[in-house]
Amino acid sequence: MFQTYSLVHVEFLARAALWTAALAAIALAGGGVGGLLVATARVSRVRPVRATAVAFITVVQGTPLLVQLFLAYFGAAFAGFDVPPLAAAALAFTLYASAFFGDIWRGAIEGVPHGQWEAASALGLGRLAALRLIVVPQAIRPAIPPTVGFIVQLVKNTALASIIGFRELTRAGQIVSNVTFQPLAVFLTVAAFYFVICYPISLASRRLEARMGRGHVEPSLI
Amino acid sequence: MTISRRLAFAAAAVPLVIATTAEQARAQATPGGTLDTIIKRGTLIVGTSLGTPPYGLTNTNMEPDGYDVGMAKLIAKELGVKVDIVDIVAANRIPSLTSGKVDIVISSFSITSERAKAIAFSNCVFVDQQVAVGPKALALTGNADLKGKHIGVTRSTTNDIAVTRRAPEGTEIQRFDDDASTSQALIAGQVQAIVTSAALGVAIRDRNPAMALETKYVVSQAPMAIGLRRGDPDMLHWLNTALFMLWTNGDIQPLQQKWMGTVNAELPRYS
Repeated sequence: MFQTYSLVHVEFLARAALWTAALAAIALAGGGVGGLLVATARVSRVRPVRATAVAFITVVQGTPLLVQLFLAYFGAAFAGFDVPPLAAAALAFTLYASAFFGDIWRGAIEGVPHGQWEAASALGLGRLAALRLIVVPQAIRPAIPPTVGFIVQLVKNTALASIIGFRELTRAGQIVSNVTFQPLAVFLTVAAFYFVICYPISLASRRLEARMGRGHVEPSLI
Repeated sequence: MTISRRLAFAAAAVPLVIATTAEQARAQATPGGTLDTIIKRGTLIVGTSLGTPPYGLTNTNMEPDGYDVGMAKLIAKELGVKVDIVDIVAANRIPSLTSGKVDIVISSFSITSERAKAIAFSNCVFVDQQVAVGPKALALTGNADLKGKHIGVTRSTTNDIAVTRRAPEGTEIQRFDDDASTSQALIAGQVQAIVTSAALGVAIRDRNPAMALETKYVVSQAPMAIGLRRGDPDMLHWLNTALFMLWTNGDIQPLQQKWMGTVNAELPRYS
């Protein structure tokens, strides 16, 4: 009944790793756009806009991603929509990443000294223009470490998508482990694949940070 | 309460919530009955966990295989439609049905009265035995001997339910996420014995000759069936008719021999 752990299985895992990377990429793209909107709304002067952003962040950060995935998949089915696992996972991860990116970037924006806003205003720039031209460029560098930290977490969190039948790396690992009964070897391979995906992200972030100048990094943010 | 425990609680609560709203879903998911829907669609969508050997697994070509997959193919052939195997995790067998994601679930699905409140079961497809497996040297001949021992079992399976209900106070039950981890715990010495299905117990024994493992005793019987949505009499009756004919014509027996290494003398029926 048992198969010997072999290259066939490694190839199966590699293909699942591509799905993990793809899901992370979708979440990153969707969450990037969503996060910008959330961060902008979060520092808005219009109270209802700000309140909406705060509510969104609170709800998403205050509920487990596992439950969000469950609702996006089974909940949608109860509401009458037949959502395939990839779409449900993409939606849940996009919302999840939007909330976290939004909050991370809000923090970075608020970290820019208030004098910058005033100076922009003195130059006749409106609120959005000041944000885009003056504040955000200065907020990017301090935002990099927490952003990358979250992206790496995001990659690993895609494992939760296995609950709704999305066959990513961790579910593939379970499947292979249960035909070979060599869980140690299988999950070491799985870990290696996660590392192959995550390490270049950390590496790229370090490069980017170095390029963005001054070289000073808050130790607590690394 | 730690974050991970909170997560576990939340995750455990969701299927319950989903199951209680099953009533609404049935109305939406099956206008005109699942049977007609399947025939019209030309495809039978079956939910099966592919991480549960020998019931659901992937073969050397990484295609779905195992007893449940073989059964799904037999059922689809009887119906004259194609089969689509959807990999689901065991914990989602009931929500997958009630939300209408799959037509039927064939996934080492033990009949329990509790589960039958949320979904319906067909007649039996296999009666499995749940056995305790441990090294020959271990003194373990019945449930009373479990006291003070570390016993491994796969979480939220009927094996788990069976041993949890029968074990005397003072038994250290350790639960693992899948059968591979449970058997690994036995081999690594983290537990002294495990409770698992008879077929898997034999396979684990043969796989690890150095451990000198043996089946210690039978904990309980586990009749398995096909899960379907409640309130779907046509589908239920057709499934039972098909199972009756498949058994009478001798199509199910070789499948049991192939995957379970044993053939049931008779498949019990409700009536």
